Amino acid sequence: MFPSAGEAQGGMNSSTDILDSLLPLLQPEGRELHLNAAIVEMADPAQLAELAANPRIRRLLLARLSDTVALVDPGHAGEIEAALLAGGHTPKVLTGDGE
Amino acid sequence: MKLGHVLESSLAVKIDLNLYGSMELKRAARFWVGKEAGSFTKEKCIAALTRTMAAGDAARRVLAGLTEKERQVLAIFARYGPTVSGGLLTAEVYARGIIAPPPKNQASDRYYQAYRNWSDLDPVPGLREKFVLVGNYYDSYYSSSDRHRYPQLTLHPTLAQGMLLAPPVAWRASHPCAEAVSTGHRSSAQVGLDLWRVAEALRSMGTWQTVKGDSPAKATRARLQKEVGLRDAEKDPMSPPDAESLYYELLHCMDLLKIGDKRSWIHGEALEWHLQQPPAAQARLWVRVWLRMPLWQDGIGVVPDRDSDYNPVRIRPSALEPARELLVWALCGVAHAPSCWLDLQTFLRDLWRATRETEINFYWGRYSWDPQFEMGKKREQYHAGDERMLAFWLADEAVWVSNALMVTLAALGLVERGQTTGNDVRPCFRLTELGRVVFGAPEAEAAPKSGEARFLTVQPNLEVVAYLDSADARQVCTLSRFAASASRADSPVQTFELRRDSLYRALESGMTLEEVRTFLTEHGKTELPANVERMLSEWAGRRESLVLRTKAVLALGPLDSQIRGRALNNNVFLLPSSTAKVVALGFSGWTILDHERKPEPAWTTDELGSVAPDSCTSISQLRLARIADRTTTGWQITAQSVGRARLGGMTAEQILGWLGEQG
Repeated sequence: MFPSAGEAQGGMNSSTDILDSLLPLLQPEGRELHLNAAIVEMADPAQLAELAANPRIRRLLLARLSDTVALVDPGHAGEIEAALLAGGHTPKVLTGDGE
Repeated sequence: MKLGHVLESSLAVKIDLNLYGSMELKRAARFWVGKEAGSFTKEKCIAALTRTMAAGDAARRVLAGLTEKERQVLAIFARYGPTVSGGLLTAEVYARGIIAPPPKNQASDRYYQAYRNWSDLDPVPGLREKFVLVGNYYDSYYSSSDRHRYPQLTLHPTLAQGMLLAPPVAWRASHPCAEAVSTGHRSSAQVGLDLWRVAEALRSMGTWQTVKGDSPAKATRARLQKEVGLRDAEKDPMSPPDAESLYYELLHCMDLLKIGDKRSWIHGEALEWHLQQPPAAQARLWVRVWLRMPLWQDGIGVVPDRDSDYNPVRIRPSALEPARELLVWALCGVAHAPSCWLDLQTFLRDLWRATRETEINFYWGRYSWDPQFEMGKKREQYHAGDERMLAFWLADEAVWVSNALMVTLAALGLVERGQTTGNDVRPCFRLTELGRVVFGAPEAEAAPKSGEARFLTVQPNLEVVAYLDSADARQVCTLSRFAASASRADSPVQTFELRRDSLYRALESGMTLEEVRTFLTEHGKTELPANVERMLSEWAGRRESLVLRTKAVLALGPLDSQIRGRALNNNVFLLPSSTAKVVALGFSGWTILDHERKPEPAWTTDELGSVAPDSCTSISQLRLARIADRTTTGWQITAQSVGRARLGGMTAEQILGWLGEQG
């Protein structure tokens, strides 16, 4: 159920291995529509690895949707915002698909 | 911008003629309708009065039937609004010389006759009899052996329009000061910044505790003191006691705080709108809410919302409000007199004489600042009479006036403090430019400002030095949105720091980097240092590189070609928010998972830690993978799996929470 993005694409690379060890990639068995979900989007995989390596942030992340997007555990959107700020990050907070 | 009078009242009354007796109605009807009304029955009087009062030419006819003194009284009502409080009306009638103060020598054989003669000249009772002025039906004159004052009265609504305003009465100081030293005043920007800081501290608390009357609880006051840290009366008696609470009460009385049963919050947009107003309009509102502020008292601080005759815990609001009104009335006179320094004690003596028929009259003995007036200290040495009464007043009520004038109104930027020169150094004051506009309205107007002021200097070390005397509250509050205050001293020169977190808060609240850059450039006395500009861009860029998106709609699976979405990965799409509303239409056969709803139970767990999943949603599977090990038949929670989860930052509460939710 949780192959790495690298495996899914038929290859392996070290940054993906690191990400896999920190935060598994989500690949659901059936078709799912998630409403009111919270996700964290980053500029590059290294930033995701940095976040996932921080236990205070990692505990609130469920899985990664790609090498730069993580899914937040349901019901913890407020907590992850606080945890990111406490960790010295300054996330741009958006609602829905807005820019 | 033209301001209304700071004491103007919009309170109107509805006259119920049925409450009056037939004799009273006849007297009024003879005036409004004509002499023939003397023979009317009560019902006929009411009908005739109702008809005549509604007639288009009623105001003209009524005014023509009044004496000059009566018209002068009505002009007072035109100046202050349809309703004028008893204290204000009394002070005005005597100050304008419409009637001389009542005779005082009660021991004289001729006193009664003198009093009768004096009261015959009083135009106010006649206006009440004619229903030109109306009051509470049960309210009557309050007179004591040494006071004679009017009740609160309202001008008849028919006459409220088209009356000539009484001209302002300039304050006549019995002894103005030549000059002053050690002077100091606060700018409106400093006051606005204090208000803003208190509001921001409350906002950062999220919600806060209050006590009866919605006053801040002790813990809230302590937190505000810690977060805002304004200079307090305990350290400096010329600072307001519980200074943060003064601004809290201002915000509260301006209706900018919403106090709920479960949570309280700031009406942020209304506060920003207030701070965008011209300084004089803001300050006028501060004075008007201060006039009726019962839970923060001058020279005392926060007081409980209760009264007791045996164990007083505050000045009764019913006594404090008229006292504040009379002080403001006196300052309105000062605003219309030539600008000069006024010796505080002389002003207080003049105030006592001007208002002695009214009601700056209460007892309270513990003020944060006591000017220790010489005459007050020697009060017991005076023989019965005016001087003794004045001495006792100077030892008590005058101390409140001093605190209100020299501390509260000075803190609000309306009064400038100083000290007299020479050997006998005494406190003195004058109105600031802002104070002259606020108290001098509607005649006085603020001079128009010439463009946007350059009031700050940005230094390469990311500090911003702001000169508040040259700024207005709107500008300083904009600066404090993206720069953190670094100085706590109550000084017209304040230092702010540009920090990553302060810029972040501003960007999150809707400001753009360009707006920040433009503000610093337009208001800077010098160019924006290049390294500062680089730093701001870098911080803003870092924010852009990390996005927390809430209330997102995600499709995990191949999408129908008609549905548009941004691909995050193979078969993972971010859909437009509107999709949530049309789920049933395009996603039949999909498993719907709402992250804001409590998840359906999906696991069966036994006492040995064996977990059998009842459904295979991704959330359920991912959670299990974090806290349990996969077995041939399902999942098993073991010491190792829990230890692994703990290593990954999970807490015991979170693990138990998942088991409770899904099990």
